[in-house]
Amino acid sequence: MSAAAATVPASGCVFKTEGLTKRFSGFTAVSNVSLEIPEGGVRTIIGPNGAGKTTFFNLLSGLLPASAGRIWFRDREITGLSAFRRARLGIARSFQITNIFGHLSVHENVRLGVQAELDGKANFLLAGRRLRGLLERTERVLHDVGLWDVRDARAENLSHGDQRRLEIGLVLASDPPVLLLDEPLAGMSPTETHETVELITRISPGRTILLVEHDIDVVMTISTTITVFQTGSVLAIGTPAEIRANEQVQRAYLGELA
Amino acid sequence: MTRPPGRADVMFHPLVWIALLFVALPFVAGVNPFVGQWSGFVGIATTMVIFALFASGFNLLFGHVGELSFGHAMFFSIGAYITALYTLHVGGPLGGNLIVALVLALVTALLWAWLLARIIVPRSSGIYFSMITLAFAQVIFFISYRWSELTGGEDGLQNIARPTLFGADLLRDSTHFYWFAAAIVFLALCGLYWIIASPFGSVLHAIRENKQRARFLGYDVDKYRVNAFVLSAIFPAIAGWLWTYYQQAINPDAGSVGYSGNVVMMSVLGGYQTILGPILGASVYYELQNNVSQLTKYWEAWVGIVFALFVLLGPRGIMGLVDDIRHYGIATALERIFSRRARVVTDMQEELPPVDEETAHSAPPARAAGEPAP
Repeated sequence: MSAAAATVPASGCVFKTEGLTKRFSGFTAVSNVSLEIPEGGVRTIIGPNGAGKTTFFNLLSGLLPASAGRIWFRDREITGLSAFRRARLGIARSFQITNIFGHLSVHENVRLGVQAELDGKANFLLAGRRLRGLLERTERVLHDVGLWDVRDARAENLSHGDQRRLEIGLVLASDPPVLLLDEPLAGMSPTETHETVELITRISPGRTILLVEHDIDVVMTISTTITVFQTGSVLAIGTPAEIRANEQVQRAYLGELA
Repeated sequence: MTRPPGRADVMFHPLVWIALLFVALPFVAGVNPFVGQWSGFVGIATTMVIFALFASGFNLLFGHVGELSFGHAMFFSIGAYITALYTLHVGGPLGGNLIVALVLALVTALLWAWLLARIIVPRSSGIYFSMITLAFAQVIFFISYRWSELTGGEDGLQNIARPTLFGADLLRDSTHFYWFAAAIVFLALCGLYWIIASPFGSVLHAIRENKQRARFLGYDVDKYRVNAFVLSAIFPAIAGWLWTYYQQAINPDAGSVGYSGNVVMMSVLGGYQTILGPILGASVYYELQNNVSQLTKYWEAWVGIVFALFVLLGPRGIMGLVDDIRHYGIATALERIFSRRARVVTDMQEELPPVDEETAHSAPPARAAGEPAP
């Protein structure tokens, strides 16, 4: 947190939304959400299924266009910006359902993430020399997410846990300042969960991590703040201790688990 | 750790295989044991190398980006007609020059490809992309077919002289012409290989596998698709340029749906997600056509049956079969082929390029989260 604090710009917000709304035919998934997400730390979003957490992520990352409202990234409005341009601004996201390049090798998957920084450069075809730098970074990311030993395997042949790691590896590849991780622990074994939580903790200094996660023990441990969504709106925001003590939240959400 | 099948880990570099094939072709093209024909024909070999280039260009889009163009014969036809018109109508110091012809053919084909790409590529994908390329190819076809004053209509253009090479009449000889064509095709294929093996080529593969993911890594997917489309027009245009000189005549067939379809067949036959596939496919296609047509006039039906068998039993083509044999041995490879019969439908979904996910943003990807990996 202290390392991240150093990089906080004037406004201090990584994302700001104003009246953000997403309607699907006859159903409002995200309803009039006005939020300010401060720079740095692990900002977790929790809420029951269908609360609009993933839709909110999809609006921030540009997968879905907003029905109404506006979004700012740092001091720049990104409401109408396409997904790839948001990615280039440094917003990287992972997906709830594993979303990788199945027929390519693990190494190629990560290298493509690393290589994205070359996109748009005129010498893209002639990038042989720069490629060496990219390969070194690819190697580092593969070690970071613990996939170095299976780098030559086809991504679709990996175990579920390894595919989830690769999903995070793709996000980390471009060294983004802002990460949106959508249920990174889904379907992981206790050991894998432990390793992934450790990884998230390790990478978090100097970055802002937005996390959607159901594993409440993990959420309470690693979150800087928690935002609780319910039926498309924000129910509460606070530190893990505040959220745990919040009666409304307990009734709406945590109570279910008890 | 086993290397997965389908990836290129051949004994030699693919370009070495291509060179070996081109050296062997004049001796084996047209060999037909059924009728006791044991020596090759350079004419058939020339057709094979020209179509190897045409099919490879088409396959840059089909095999490597995952977009099936059903109209790439338009670029072949443009290259061929521009070469013919230039050779017939331009005299003087700039007349009859093969380099000038090539430049004109390429510029025209690239302008048309760029225009088309800007219009159709960002707006269509999958089946719609196939239909719209077919439609635009028909425009080119009907221009060549109907504009008789310029193109000679149905009969096309004849008596197109082969140009001189360094001032010598070398190209009149059909063997010399074969080596000339083979050298040009080989150089062009080196360029194509370079494109596919470059970081740019990797992004094309990423787009083929998962457009959405490529976008979220920060790639301007449509820009890559437009560029790939334009690049893929270069090779058919060069092939068309060679085709006019080889035939010394040209007719509207060059831009027909039939020619567009043939390169699809060649790519699938050889193995469309590989570099060697379309090249091998072109040779096998013409060898089949030659051999079967000497036995029956229904040769096209037989070629069609072979194509259908490949699609049903081995959608990864000859290269896929070679790969399987190298990894599993002949017995297991054959067993895999025949056990595939029961799951043809799922196989096709796996092997053919993914359908556009644009229309189904929320649809789950191929592997659901909870599904165990094999």
